[in-house]
Amino acid sequence: MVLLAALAILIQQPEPPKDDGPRWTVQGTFATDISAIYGSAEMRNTIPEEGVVGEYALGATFHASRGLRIQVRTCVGCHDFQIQNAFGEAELSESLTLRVGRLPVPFGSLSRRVNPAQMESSTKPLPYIMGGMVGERAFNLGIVPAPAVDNGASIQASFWLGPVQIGGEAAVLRGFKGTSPDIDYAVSRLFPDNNGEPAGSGRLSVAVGLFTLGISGMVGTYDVDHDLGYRLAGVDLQLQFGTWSLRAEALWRETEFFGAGLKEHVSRRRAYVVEVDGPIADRWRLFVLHDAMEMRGLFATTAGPLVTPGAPPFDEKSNRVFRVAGGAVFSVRPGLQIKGSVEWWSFDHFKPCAVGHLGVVFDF
Amino acid sequence: MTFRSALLLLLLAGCSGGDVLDRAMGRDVSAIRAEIATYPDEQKAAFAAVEERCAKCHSPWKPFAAHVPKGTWSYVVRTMQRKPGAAIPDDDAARIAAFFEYYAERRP
Repeated sequence: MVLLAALAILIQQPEPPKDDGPRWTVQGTFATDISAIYGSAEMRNTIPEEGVVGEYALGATFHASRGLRIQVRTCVGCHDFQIQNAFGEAELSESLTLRVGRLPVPFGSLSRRVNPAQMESSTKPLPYIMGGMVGERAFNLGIVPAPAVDNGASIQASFWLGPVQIGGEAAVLRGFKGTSPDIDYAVSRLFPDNNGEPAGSGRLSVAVGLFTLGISGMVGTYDVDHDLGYRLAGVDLQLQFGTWSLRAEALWRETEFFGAGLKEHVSRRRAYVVEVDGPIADRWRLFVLHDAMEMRGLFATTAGPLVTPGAPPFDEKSNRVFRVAGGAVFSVRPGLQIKGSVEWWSFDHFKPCAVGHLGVVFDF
Repeated sequence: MTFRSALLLLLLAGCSGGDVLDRAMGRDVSAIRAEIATYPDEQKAAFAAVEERCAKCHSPWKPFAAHVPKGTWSYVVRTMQRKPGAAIPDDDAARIAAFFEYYAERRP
């Protein structure tokens, strides 16, 4: 449907504008982070990536014409070699853009600033955390790991109503994969589909001056038999005060799973993040972040969220995690940053701990 | 191990803080800001727009490290402007593109 709509608009497209852009552009991000946990020995075992962690990405964009681009970006990070992006992007009109390929999933406010050079914190906000999470195995990460990339097609729209910019993006995607009782993000990275049923995702934003409000949604099924669904929703707000930003976001996820007797149940997650960041001097930026998440309906065990309880303290069906983080980014040069931060993690049922991060980010 | 790695990283950071990187990466952001302070008022105002509009998604210094050929900034800013939620009005987009062309013209 998206492709048919795009083709219909393409047919009405006027002559392409003058080609005055570059032919090729190359982008890359190379980030190395060293982290250390200060807490009990059992908490050290719950963070798989403690120590030296890298996120190394290199990409290029071929600008076929002013309105047609092909972008490929690869990434090696906490996981194996991955194609982070590989899509064609066609400007269908002054306000519409079509993307086809392996593309960023349009969901949430973080989808546009996922690389380490685009955020002040050493780890991503808890709802989007991809690595460096204390209790990662027990919770199976947050709401949706970022960057979320998937095979599919999307339409982006952006137009002005007076001083208000309305932005929207809707995508048809392959969707997450896994087996009951939760999504498996490692399996979801593999290219083949598992159930042949598409998923959908979208985001709508309204921006006035330095104020932006966004809402997002995603639906799909993750199991082979197309029986178990997931539903995500999010609302985000960004306020800019000069060069300082206040970012706030709340997200929800419902995930169906098979309980006793193959009866369908639903686990629920909800999370929020509030962040303030901005410059305090020419070369220094500061940030303070607070985020939290609650998971209900499954037991957070050492083997991941399960229908059956583990040994204490992994026998609770409702688990919450809270975090407060703060730190600084020092810009050595444009494209070279040193990032340091301290995070305090606390849990309903697990022991608290602190994590220190120090890293270097090279970005161009 | 982690402590020693952190010390090594701090040592590297200390080395990179001097002029040793000037040739490879250009001047530091304080020097760039000092140069911008000498620009005409129109360009200084355009840089203020960079700090407000561009910093919504990335560091305002990122474009200074981007490998964008001279004469193509208008195209690049336009692709940013089209992104949903970017909220860069046409007049700001034109000023931002003109600023980076002005800056690039002064590079060897």
